Amino acid sequence: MNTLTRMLSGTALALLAPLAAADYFKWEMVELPASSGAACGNGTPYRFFVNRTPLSKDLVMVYEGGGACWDQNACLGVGKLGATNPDGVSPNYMHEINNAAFGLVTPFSARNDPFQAVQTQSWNIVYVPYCTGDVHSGSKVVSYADVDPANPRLQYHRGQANIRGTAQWLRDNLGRPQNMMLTGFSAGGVGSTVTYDLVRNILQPKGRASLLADSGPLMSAPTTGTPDQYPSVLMHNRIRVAWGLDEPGGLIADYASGSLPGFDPANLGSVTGALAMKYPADRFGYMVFQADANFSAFSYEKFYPDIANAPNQVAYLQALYARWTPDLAAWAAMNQSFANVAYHLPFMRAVNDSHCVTIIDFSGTGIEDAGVASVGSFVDAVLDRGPVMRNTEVDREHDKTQELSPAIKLFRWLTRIL
Amino acid sequence: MPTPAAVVPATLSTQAPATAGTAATDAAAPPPGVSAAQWAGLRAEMAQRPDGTAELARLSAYFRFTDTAQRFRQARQSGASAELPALARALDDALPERLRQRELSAAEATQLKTAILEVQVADTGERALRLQQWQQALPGTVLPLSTPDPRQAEFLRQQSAVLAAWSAQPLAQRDARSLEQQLDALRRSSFPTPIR
Repeated sequence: MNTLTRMLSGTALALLAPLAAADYFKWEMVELPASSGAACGNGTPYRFFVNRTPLSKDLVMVYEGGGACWDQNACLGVGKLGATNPDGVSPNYMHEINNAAFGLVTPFSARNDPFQAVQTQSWNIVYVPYCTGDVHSGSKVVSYADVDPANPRLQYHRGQANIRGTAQWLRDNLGRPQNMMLTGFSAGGVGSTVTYDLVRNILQPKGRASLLADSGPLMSAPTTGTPDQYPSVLMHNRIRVAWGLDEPGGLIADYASGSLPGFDPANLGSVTGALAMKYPADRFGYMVFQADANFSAFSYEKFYPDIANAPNQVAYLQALYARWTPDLAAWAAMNQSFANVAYHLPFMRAVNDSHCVTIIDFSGTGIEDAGVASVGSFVDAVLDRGPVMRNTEVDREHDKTQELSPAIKLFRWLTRIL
Repeated sequence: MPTPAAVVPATLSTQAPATAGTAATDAAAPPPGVSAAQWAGLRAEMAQRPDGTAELARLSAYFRFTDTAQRFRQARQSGASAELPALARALDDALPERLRQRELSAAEATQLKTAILEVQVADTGERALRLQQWQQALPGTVLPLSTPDPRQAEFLRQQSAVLAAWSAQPLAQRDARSLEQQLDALRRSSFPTPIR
């Protein structure tokens, strides 16, 4: 069903009243009050953006990605493993050219995307910028001085307060949505997963609730496990402390207190299964490239010297994938236990280090050996309660030579020259 | 209920897309993609607003733009190359006003401009150059220039002072919770009211 037809399918008159004061189809900036605890990494106000429609009561929240940090340089946005928006989010953010992915971003945040139609383009759209370096989850202010002790970086890892404040504002100003979807890419994929319970509890959607988390898999990693068994454990243990996840008011502490039954506080990766069990009627869709060399770098590079000090790119990738491949296989196996969890694991796409399946458009995201032309059918299956698809690409050759769209080619061109 | 195919002739004239993003001349008639009932509801709602007439005209223009964008996407995907130049031109003409109205993010507009140039410019390098030039021309013309939050510089200065004072304490006396409380107090005084 195309976007406009979906727009027409609602009972419009009944939907108009709650949004009476809105400027429809405009990007409205919302700044959360300092009293809410919401903040960007440098302490400036947190802002998000809403694009309302009078023709739908459905709501999609798009969580922005952009790295993560637990040291001074990365929190300043320095280096390839830096966190985005270290100077905060300006009131004019949506109208600046150089935001995430050179302004190309994702079909989920554009109503008139010329390359890719997705059904949520006719919904109320909320764009959730990322500026805290904590995958939208943290609850701690940290002074990082590991590189330049004379000029420490004060970092507000306040992602949880930002999401909580955003969800509350939406509930207060837009009411309960009919259908709700959370989606995000990279750090936003993790963020939309770990705050799904929090947001769902506040918004209380009347109809379907779904998650489409792109390229942010929460690997199984018990705190007492060894790196050989659970390669992500070193990173998980680091961020739990750095972002205050276990402290009072932290996400893990909150979930462990009983709000998310089935969650094992000793294993961040158990969030995925706990959500599936708590919300059996919801649908959870996860997507990630098997050759993702970016999320894997964040997960391992700073913790494994053989990766950090690899003599060349071949050795680097070998060391990286030696952890990532089994980690991802274990993650997929874990998710097979849950009837409402779907995943889509294409092999690679020659852009952005095979990181993020849904950015720019869906070209090059198919799993041809499973008869899936692109991730688009996976997205629809999650939203429409179609079959629970668990697609894993076996073929390692097709993707290396696949033709990509003009938009993807342009993105590659921009990344080369900028 | 009309579908996009029903409101747009199968054989596209150059006149149809040329109206993309311009206000409807007959406010009573629903714009493409909007049912009569939906439009009547919107008109009733806008009648309650002091800027209702202008807002209704904007919405009408936006719906026309959206309809053109959708036909462009469909034509592009179906390979209907005969229709694409006119649709691309219509979108291109309408883009500045839709940006001025803040209906499109810079990202969405960039996507649209990329697709438009794909139709209008054959050479990839030239296309990329034209896109870059277009982006560079936006701030200060159809997009507002970014101006820093006037509260921010003073906040950051005071925040540095708070951190410096805290860091000057002996290590054993540095209480992270106390620092966080001081910083939150500073944030509340620096940003007492959210801007809109």
